[in-house]
Amino acid sequence: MTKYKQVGKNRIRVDAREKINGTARYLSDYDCEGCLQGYTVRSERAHARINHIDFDTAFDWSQVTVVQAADIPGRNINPVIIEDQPFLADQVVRFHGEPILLLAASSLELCREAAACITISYQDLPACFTIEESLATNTPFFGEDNTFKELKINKGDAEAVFREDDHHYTEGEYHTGAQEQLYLEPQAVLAEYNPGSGLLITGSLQCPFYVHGSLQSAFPELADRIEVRQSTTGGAFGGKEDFPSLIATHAALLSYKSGQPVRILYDRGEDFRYTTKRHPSRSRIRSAVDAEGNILALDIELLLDAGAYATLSQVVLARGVLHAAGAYHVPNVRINGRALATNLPPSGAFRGFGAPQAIFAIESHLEQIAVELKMDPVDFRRRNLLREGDTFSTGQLVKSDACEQVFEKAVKSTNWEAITRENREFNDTHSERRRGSGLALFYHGAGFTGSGESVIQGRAMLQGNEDGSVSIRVTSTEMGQGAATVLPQIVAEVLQVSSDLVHFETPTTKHPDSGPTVASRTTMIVGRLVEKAAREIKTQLPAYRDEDEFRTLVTSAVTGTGLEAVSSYEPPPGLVWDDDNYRGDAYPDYSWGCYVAQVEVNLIDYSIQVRKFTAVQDIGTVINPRLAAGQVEGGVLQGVGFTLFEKVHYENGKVQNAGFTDYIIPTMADLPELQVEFIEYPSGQGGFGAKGVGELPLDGAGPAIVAALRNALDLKVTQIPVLPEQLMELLCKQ
Amino acid sequence: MQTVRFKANGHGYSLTVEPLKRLLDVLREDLRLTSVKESCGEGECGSCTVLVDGEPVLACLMPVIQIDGKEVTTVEGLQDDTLYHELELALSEAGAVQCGFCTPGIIMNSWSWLTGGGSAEPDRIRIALAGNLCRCTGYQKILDGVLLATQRVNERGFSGGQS
Repeated sequence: MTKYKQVGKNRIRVDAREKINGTARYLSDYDCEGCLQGYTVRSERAHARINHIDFDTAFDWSQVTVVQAADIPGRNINPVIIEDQPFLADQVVRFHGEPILLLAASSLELCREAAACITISYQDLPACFTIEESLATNTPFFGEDNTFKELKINKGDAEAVFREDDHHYTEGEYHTGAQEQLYLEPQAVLAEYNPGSGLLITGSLQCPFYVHGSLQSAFPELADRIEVRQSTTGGAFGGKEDFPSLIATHAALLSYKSGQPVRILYDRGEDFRYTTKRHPSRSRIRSAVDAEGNILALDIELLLDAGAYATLSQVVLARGVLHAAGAYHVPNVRINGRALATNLPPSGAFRGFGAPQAIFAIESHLEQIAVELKMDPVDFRRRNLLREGDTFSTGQLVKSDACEQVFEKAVKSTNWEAITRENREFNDTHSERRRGSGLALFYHGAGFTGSGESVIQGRAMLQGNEDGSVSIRVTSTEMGQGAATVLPQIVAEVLQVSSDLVHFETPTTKHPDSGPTVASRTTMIVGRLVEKAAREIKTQLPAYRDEDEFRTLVTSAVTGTGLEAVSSYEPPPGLVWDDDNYRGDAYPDYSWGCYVAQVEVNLIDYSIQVRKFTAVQDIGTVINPRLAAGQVEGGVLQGVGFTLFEKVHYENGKVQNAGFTDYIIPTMADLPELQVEFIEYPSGQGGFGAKGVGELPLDGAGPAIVAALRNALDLKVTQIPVLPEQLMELLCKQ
Repeated sequence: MQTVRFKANGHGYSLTVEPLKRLLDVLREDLRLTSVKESCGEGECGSCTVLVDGEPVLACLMPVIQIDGKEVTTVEGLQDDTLYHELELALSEAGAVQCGFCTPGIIMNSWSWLTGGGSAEPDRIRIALAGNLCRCTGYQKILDGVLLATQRVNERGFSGGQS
């Protein structure tokens, strides 16, 4: 990347220092003198009619602000996609922990005292807690059959292939569990209502305009006087995509009624129990493979457990089905996906967004086929992988050989044949330990699904400042991933100045809407937007020779007629998407990955250690290699957790392990020897050719680890997470 | 209520408080030392790590009465310290920070590791920092940063102290 001066450089994060020295202010660090503390009274039943709410008259209610559904000035609907979720339950509760009442008082202790003086009586309704129970119920609570959304993809004629009888047929069922995002900073929001100026929300969040939309639903008369600002955000991973809309509205309702600022801070237990998690999934796959090992047909059913309300399930399902056929050329594909309602807390966005579930299923299925055909799983993949000119299941053309390149690089740099041999030798000489290696090949669609980017029409603003610097004004948020560092590198590259001369301003709904910070779209799509705006700024300035001259020109432009450029998303020519039939260009571009896991299993205590992990990927132009590697490493470890550690235990719809004590995430002691490599196939659609990196790493870790377990133990694992107790059970059955 | 006398970051305090109030709340609310973060509140994540008489402790598990007569140090109190600046530099360069919520706790534990004469061995650092959870980085770059700081400190022969 020598042709660039800013792009491709390991710029140190702009926020590193303040985060290390502790001066970065997260919402809970704000000095909140005069603030009321907000508290949520929740359902104690998983599915019930609310009969009566009783307020103990012995309690002095004048010290507490109480908000019920009837207090909402506008609609009691959180408008995500399907408008089914109320801000506060009214008459019926659909999951354990659903918000019913809100309280605000000078202290949390006082709120708790008040809550103890409220008695809610219920009449239980039939509840279902799993995909199977949702399918089997004869008392659906959403539509005719509890289906929030159904999606179908058809390519070729899969059924015709399954009617032939001269192929090798394999059937399998695969399950993945719920996973909590577990950002270290719990949900936090501050609402300040003022009858004159309107409503100001400050919070730990990914998508300022999502929150804005929900507030407009609840407060239509304030619609043009609402501002949403992001506070320093301590991790999100999708968990602060849609959920903040709910609690920001809660805090706003309390502030509106009390006339005082109200802060809601969830503690870990509350955050764990009641916020959204990754959708549990069940996949059934049927495949037909010919004698040479070519995959002829796939028939895939992907079911997602959406929980009690639809939230983002329909788009999670979309990403799931669009990744379900894997990184392979298959002429005949039939995919049927459904997001089903259950009485668990609503599932929502979590890094990967349906893809990790679908990719775990197809990659595990490929391993099974290879075993049945007695083929090496690497050779089997090499024969079938997507090459330039092949088509995805939607008919979209594969435009590069990135898939083949990441695959061959991973095979080569791990020295696949040698490690396979070493594992065998190790296993022959160790009676109580087993080693194995496994590989996964996959892609992640970069940017919004289908016509999403055209619908969002993202915009970005650049503005000159009097001191000669330039500011980026967007709603894309810094949540730890590095947007505040990377977007200025792109702008600085265009302007040929130092990145430090470009400031990333705190996102607010006062800025043009660059879209939500989701879908691995920021460096790519918003990167392109700021690149375009920077080119526009450059045309507004006379030619300059160096940075000093640039600053002088910016200053004089700002003090004169002003210096400002706003760019808008323009759909690239030739992208066609048919949303009714799920045909065409499902994503603007794709990132590709091939991951190799090497594991060791202890046969005495069934502990599983990921010893080495190699992650090879194409994410287009790498804008900041160190930050990009950090995304990969973080995603891989979350994938290790998803596969080997993180199991949410529910009992009658209530989370039983709501904290770090019994929901285990990887620690530094679990860090494998980790190797990260990039291949660069620049995209025509991203800032300086960047594609998405955020989610890709979570897609590949699970299937690679499970393939390695199979290799080590000759064991078929079809369900994750696989904790030592599950592994023991499986091995004892074997 | 009880009076508790202690030092924090070099300043003497005498507070009349509930003796079982968590040290975490005293530091954050009474002293406004907000580098000390609460993430789990049950002694699992390490985000609230502070030093009491030089030893790392979890402020969410310690009742304030236990620091009577002792000295507490947080990141705010290390701003003039040479080893702290080695850590700040090395962690920045290594890319060890993402969302930052776990970072002050990691700094405190790493500082304790460095001042305890920690050796530049990755496997020992991994164990020393296994009590600090991070959800963003996957730990690799934190390990790289602490290792880098340890190497530099060992080469140059620093010891903790005011710069």
